[in-house]
Order: sequence, then C-alpha cells, then structure tokens
Amino acid sequence: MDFVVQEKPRANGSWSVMVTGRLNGATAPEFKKHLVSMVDEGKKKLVIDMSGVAFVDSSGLSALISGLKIAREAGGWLKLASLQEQPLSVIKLMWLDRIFEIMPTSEPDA
Amino acid sequence: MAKRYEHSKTYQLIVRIIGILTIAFGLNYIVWRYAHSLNTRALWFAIPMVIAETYGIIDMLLFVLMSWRQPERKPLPAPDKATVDIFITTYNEPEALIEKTARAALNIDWPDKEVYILDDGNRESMRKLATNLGCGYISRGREWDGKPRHAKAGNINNALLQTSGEFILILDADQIPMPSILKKTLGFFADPKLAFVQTPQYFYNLPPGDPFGNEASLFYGPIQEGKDGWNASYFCGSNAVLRREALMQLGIREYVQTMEARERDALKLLAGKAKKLVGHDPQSNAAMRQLQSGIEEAQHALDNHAPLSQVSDLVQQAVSKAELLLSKSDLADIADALKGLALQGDAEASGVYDHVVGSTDSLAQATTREDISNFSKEMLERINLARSDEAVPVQALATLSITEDMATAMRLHASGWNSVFYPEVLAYGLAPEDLGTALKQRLRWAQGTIQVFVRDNPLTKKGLTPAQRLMYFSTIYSYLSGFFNIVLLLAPIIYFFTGIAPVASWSWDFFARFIPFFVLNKFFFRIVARGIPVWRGEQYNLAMFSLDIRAVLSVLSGRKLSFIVTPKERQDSKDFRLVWPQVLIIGLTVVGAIYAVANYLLGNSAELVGLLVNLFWGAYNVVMLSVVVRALYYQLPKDWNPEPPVES
Repeated sequence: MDFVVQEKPRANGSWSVMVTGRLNGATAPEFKKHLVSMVDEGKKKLVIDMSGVAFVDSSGLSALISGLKIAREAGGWLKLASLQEQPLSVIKLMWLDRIFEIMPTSEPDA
Repeated sequence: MAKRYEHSKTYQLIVRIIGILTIAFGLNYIVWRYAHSLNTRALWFAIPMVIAETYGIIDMLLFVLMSWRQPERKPLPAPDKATVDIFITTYNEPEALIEKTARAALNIDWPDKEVYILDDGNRESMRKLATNLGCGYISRGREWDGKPRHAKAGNINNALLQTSGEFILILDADQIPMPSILKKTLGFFADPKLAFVQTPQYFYNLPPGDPFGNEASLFYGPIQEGKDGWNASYFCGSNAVLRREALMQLGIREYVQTMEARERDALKLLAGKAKKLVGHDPQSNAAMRQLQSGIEEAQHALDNHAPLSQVSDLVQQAVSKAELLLSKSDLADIADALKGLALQGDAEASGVYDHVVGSTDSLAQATTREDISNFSKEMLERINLARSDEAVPVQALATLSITEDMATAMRLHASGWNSVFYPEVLAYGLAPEDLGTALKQRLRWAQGTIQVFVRDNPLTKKGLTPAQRLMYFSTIYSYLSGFFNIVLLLAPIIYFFTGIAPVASWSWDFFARFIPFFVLNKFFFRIVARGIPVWRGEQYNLAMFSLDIRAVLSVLSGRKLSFIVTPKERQDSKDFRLVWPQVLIIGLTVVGAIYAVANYLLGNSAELVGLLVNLFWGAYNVVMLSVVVRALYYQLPKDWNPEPPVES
C-alpha cells in the first residue's frame, strides 16, 4: 500500500502532518526522516493527523517518539490527532498516552 | 477404411530389413554430401541445403526406430466387474450432435456405466438434454470463477473430482462410440500398471479423396502402433479409456511437485531478500540473522524431504521470531527516548520508561512488527499449500499445454505407467469440412506439441525410457520441418533464376547416391503404412511449411496461446490469405522454370542435367503445394450428409 505524508500550515505557526498508510518497519524510517527535515526547516510545532493510519507497530511508535524528541529539543512540540482504533490501543498499552497529547481532530487550533 | 496387410513375423522382418537399407543408403548419401559435394562457391545456399537434408535423414532414422516393432493387439477378456464413467466433453457444439453421441454412449454394452455430459458452455438446454436422456450433467462450479479454466483439461479435471468410476472413457462431442468399445478395451487393464487404452479417431465425414488431409489412419495406425511397441503410444484426448487411479496419482504427484517447486522458489526469494535487510543496531542485526538462519533451516528441511507444511511452518516461525526481535529493538529505542525526556525533567516520561522497560516482552508482542511478513506475504501465500491461484488443487490432466493429451501421456509414462494403442476403430467422429478449420486444428496441434517441448522436454524428463524419449521427441521434431521444407521449396527457384546449385555438380555420383535412398525412403514409408494411402499426408507435410514455422515462432515468442475449439460445422470462408505462401512458391517456381528454359533455349546456359533435375524438383513441389489451393476451392458433393456406420 502507498504511504504518503503531507504537510500543511495551521494557525499559530504550527503544522499539520497528514499521514496515510501503515506506519510500520517499512514506512517508519521515511516518516522519521520527514519529521527530522521539517524540524530542520523550523517547522517544530507538529500535529500528526493519524486519521489515515490503520496500523502502527513498534517501529512506527519509535518514529513518533523520535519525532517528539527532536521537536521538543528544538523547543517545539508534537501532538497526535484523529487516532484510529489499533494505533490508539497500542499507544495506550505502552502508556504513551501519558507522553503524547492526543487530540480528537487536527482541525481546531491548538 | 483401406484394407491393411496382416501383421506377421515375416512382415516385421521385411520392415526391419528395408529400414536398415534405407538408413544405410541415407547415411551413404549424407556423408558424401558433407565430404565431397558441397558447392563451396555458394555456401550461403549449400549449407542450409545440407542442413535441411540432414534434418530429413534424422527424421527417417526416428521413423525406422518407431517402426521397429509393432505389437499385434488382440482384445483380452473383459473383467467381470468394473465401473466406468463416460465423459462427453462439449463447449459449444450443437445439441443434436451431443444427443447422438450421448445416445450411443448409453447404448454401450457395459452394465456398470454412468454417462456424463461435461458442458463447458454451461447451457441450460444441455442440462435439460442430459436429464431427459438419463445422463449426468457436469459444468464448472463457482470455484472456477476468476481462475484459469484450462479448457478441455480443466473440464475433465473438474468432472474427475465429482465422479467415482474405476475407469473413464473420454469422448469428444462428435465421437460416436460403438457398443463394443468397453468390452474390447477393458481387458487390457488386467495389467495393473496400465494407465490407458487409446483407440483410433476415425472420421465418417471425409469427402472423397480427403481434400483437407484429415485422414488420420496413418497416425492411428502405423505411427501409434510403432510407438506402442516402445510403450509410448499417445493419449489423444478422445476415444480412450483411462484408469482413474493413474490420473489421480498423476494429479497428486503434480500437485506435490508444483508445491515443492514453489516452496523452493519462495525460499530462495525470501533468502535473497533477507540478505539485503540490514539492521541499524546490534539487535536488529540479530533479528536478520534469526530470519536468515530460519530460512536456511527451512531449505535444509526441504532438501531432506520434510513435509511441506513443516517447511512452511519453519518459515513462518522464523519470520515471527525476527519480527519480535525487531520490536524489542524498537522498544529499546523508545525507552532511550523516554529516558532522555525524563532526564529533561518530564516526570510522566520516567513512569512510562519504567513501564516500557518492565514489560518489554509483552509490549513487544502487542506492537510486533509486520514489515517482514509484509514483504514475505506473497511468498508465504504461495507456500501455504492452498494453491489459491487454481480452482482445483489436484489437476490430473496436464494443463501446461494447449494439447493437454500428449503432455498427460508423457507424464503417465514418466511415472512408470504403461499404455496400449488398440487399432480397431471403435468410435466415429467428424473432421473439419473446410480448409480454414482444418488449418486451425493443425496449428493448435503444432503449437501444443512445441509447447510441450519447451516446458517439459521429453529428452531430459525424468522417468522416461530412452526409447520413450525418442518417440516423444520424434513427434516434436517432425513439427520443426517447416524451417527445412522451405529450403527444399526455394532451392529450384534459386537455381532457375541464378543457376546456382547447392551441390558441386550434377554428377553421376550424385544420382547414384541420391536415387536409391529417395526410392527406398518412399518405399519404406509405404510398406510401414500397410495399404493406408500416404500421398495426401506427404503433400500436406510439405505444403504446411508456413503453418509449421508460424507455430514454432508463436510458441517461442512467448505469446499466450489459446485453446481453439475446433468447430464441428462447416465454415464457409474461402479466404485467399490462408494459402498465400503456397501460391507465392508455386508462382515463383513456374515463372522461374519458364525463365530457365528460355535461357537454355537461347543458349545462355549449357547445363542441361541441372535444369532437368530442377524442373523435376520444381514440378514435384508444385504438385505437393497445389493440394491446399485445391482444398480452398473444394466444393463438397451435393447432399453431403454422411452418417456414422452401425456396428454389426
């Protein structure tokens, strides 16, 4: 299946990152690279829109955490939005819901 | 049917003596051609010519070998009890034709029989006909939707799984069986290793003189009898009785072999992909090594003939283990990141870190990676033994070629089964009644035969005896003749226009070596034919050069060939395009001959012997090729409505 990452600006200088596809070992490295380059470009306030992601595995979670880490280190933040069932359940299982701020949708401004 | 001389020991001896003489004179000629008579001034012409002649000599050698022993088959007493399923295969033939065949099948003199109409056309009217006659009706079920149908072979494979008779009589829609067909053939199955008895296909609608060259009594006579002598007679798709057990064993064997080959391929692919995976840390490298060693273990198991399901399981386990290791490596990364956050003063992160580190094993299970299964998914599906690309996993009749029957017979022989050709005509069928249809049928046979050679070469196939290999090879070999015949057809034309000959000189030596061989060769063919007319067949063999070439090229080009159901009704097309290659050769020969004669008369050329030889040769070619032109414009006699004979 195709894996697509699209970014678009939100209000307050933050960015929405729309992910479509399965976030797994095959796609996580590409996704992580994308996040790194965004932070490098100064786009460090990120809302990851996960509405198009049906599945996340450990490597996908690892990529999300890496994204969170570099965003924070650059003085920004990373939030998750519109989580589907499976991704939400593994995030809860890992207690990562205590790390990530999870929004019902990426639309309303933070 | 032409009256044939009786079999006898003396006859067989005569065949062998003349056969050996023919070989001796043939070798004498061809060796001399290579050693002493190549026209070295025109090698571009001399070499193709001598190669074509060599082809002919090898063809003759194979023919003599085939005729070496022809068993005399007499019916053996039929068993007291045997259940027989009679399959009438149809696709689009008219109802009246099927009805005739089905009625004759019901009338076969055998108590334990079931007649089935195998309707690949899935026609409601055919179902009704079957019910009315009291026959079974079998068509393809839903499981065939979207799967390769494999034409007639698929039709029969489908029916095999829904019926249970010990023996199967297969009849094409137009083949009307005689009542005695089972009583005369079942006795041969006293040999427990006998897989099938083939009887002739005989056509009751051949127009006088057989203009379309359909007469098959040469094939269903000396040729099949000769092959029978080497336990290599062919199954021809109709008018044959087969042992179900042999077909089912063949199907199961084919299933196992296909699955094993697929498993091997899949493992190889998987191993190749696994080698390319590189981890970014020691733990993921360990995962890759885990996967690689798991695949190696599976390959090893396969080499040691472990059950295929066990091999599949080993691969699955290796994939799962590797994925779990990768997940653990990810979790270690996550823990690292959390530690970093905790050190920056994030109190929550510290708690989550403890959770992730404390429950790594169960969390790894829950978030296990899917990427290896993903890239290996297709391969894993291929080896899950379900054969999901086919409607029925076990395919008794070979589906690798559009002539399923030859491939099936070859596989049976290779698995150690025996065959019998019983030469009495016990079913009467229809031959094409127009040139276009006859050519289509011939093209299909040629393509199918070449396909078998390409996909399942008899020369290297395991399990065949050397003689069986040569018998199968000789059939394939004979379909290569187009490439050599065209040289023989062009030779006089080249001579007429250029005066260049393939031989160094038209010497006494040439005639002394060539004529005895030529005469013996023709004579041998006629002796073996035992009274069956061979002239029409000889004409078509040469005249079909363009079709034979086309068949070989179409198979080698790798384009998908389709099984064309031979129409059982006359198609009224007089399409000149069918015969243009023959007309072109005839035209060039005639014009060339006139030109060469004029040249001689005008004194431009002094070579009389060469001219006469080539005039004779050209005339021979024209007579041979003209058969198809006459066939194109052939009109059937008025009120042509032949009926099959009735058994007395």
